Amino acid sequence: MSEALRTFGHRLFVAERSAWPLAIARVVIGVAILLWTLTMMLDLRALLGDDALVGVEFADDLDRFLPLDSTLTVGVALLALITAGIAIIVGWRPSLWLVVAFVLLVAIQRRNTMILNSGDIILRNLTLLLALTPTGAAMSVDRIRRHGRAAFWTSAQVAPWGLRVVQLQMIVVYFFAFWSKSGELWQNGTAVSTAFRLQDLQRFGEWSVLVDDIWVVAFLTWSTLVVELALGTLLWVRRLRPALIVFGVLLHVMIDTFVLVGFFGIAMVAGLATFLDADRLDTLVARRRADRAPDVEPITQPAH
Amino acid sequence: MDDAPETDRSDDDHSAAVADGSSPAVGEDWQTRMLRRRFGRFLVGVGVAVSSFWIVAPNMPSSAVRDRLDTLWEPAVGIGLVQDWAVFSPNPRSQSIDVRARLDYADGTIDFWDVPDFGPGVGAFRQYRWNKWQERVRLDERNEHWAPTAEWIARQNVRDGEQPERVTLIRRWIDHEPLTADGPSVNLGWNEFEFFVWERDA
Repeated sequence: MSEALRTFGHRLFVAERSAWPLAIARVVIGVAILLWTLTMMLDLRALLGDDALVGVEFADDLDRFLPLDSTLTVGVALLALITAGIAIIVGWRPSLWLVVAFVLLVAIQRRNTMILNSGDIILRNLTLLLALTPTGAAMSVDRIRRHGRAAFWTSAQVAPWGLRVVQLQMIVVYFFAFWSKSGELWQNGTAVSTAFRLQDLQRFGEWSVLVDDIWVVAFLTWSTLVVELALGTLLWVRRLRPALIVFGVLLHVMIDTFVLVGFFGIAMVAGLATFLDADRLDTLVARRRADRAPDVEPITQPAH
Repeated sequence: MDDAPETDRSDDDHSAAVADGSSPAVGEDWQTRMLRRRFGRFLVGVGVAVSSFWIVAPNMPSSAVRDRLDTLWEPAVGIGLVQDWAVFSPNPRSQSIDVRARLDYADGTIDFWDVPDFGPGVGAFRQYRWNKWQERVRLDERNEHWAPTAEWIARQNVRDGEQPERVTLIRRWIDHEPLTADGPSVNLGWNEFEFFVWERDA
């Protein structure tokens, strides 16, 4: 029993595998950070500046890490965050820049908490947790610096313990998003109609088929619950993972299309990328490299 | 962070092997190298256990047990690792909401200020912040925000060198009845309530 447990623990946290899922997650979270910062810059004065709608006296009491109390200091922080976003995307010392990005995100977000939603929170959580993982072990400038340009499309074999923490965060988000939806409207299948009628959350106005057709509304309401529960409980099951990732992405595309949720969708897609099959991605990339350079004999990474 | 090659080949040979795909380059990162030493494995074990607790435990339902334990995840909240994933729950709210300001100028004219509209494309990634603000600022428990908000709106709406004489903050909302099998939902229209008045000093 203890031997079986040890083997299980080794496979879960220690057994090395390719870093492709982490590299993809890194790129997506880097893009999210960059977009978050660029859009924030457009409202720098109004939302975070010297004469902002919400004054600095209302900043969060919690540790803000950096005293961002003026337009200038917030502007500098946003410029640093843009640098971090680019460095993370290209994979130049990504763990370091992910930590920098996390500190800056928290400092800026705590300057004005009145404008935050769940997307802002999951963005910074995943930024911190990905910093604990070797996201630069594939598809990165670090890889080129260490082994030359041809190594860009190769991956090191890495320990997955940090990956498991990121995956746990994702599962917790889905499970408790499902768990909290205990109200009557979710049970009777009409919650999506009410949610899509909230004018302050509509992105493209009201679509009558999504709010008035009882069958479409019931399908969307209950399928949301089913997908959230499945993502919160079954993502560990390797065979079901590809389908669940597709359903998860579809769920976020649908929500992002119709509801103003900010960066929630793109951050969650980054998190879902960590569930991609590392071995399969490795084989896929090796095959493509072999197709492009027939002289180079591809190797298949050992499966774990 | 430079690394020792994991084979007896030279660095150059090793990199060439990695680049052409004939070597997977195992354990170049500190996360993987940590597991090679007992102390490193201990640190990783503690780190994974603590961070997992910080991720899972704050999501516990409200209870006496939770109240007793919540100091354990205060460090996580302090650094910014926050857990709150209750969205549209337990039900989606039943009201569309809006905050508007009526501006009364000295010459007797009236104007209105609304949250800016940035459009549904890239603007949606700015819009949610303003809409989140108006969702919160209208609440009675945020009344300490009302005077500074009205003053800010007055400063942004100077006309002929003068701020409005009065700024009235107005809550607007539409009640949404749940969908029933009887037919399409009916938009009941906006309701309004003036919740704060700011007057410029003479």
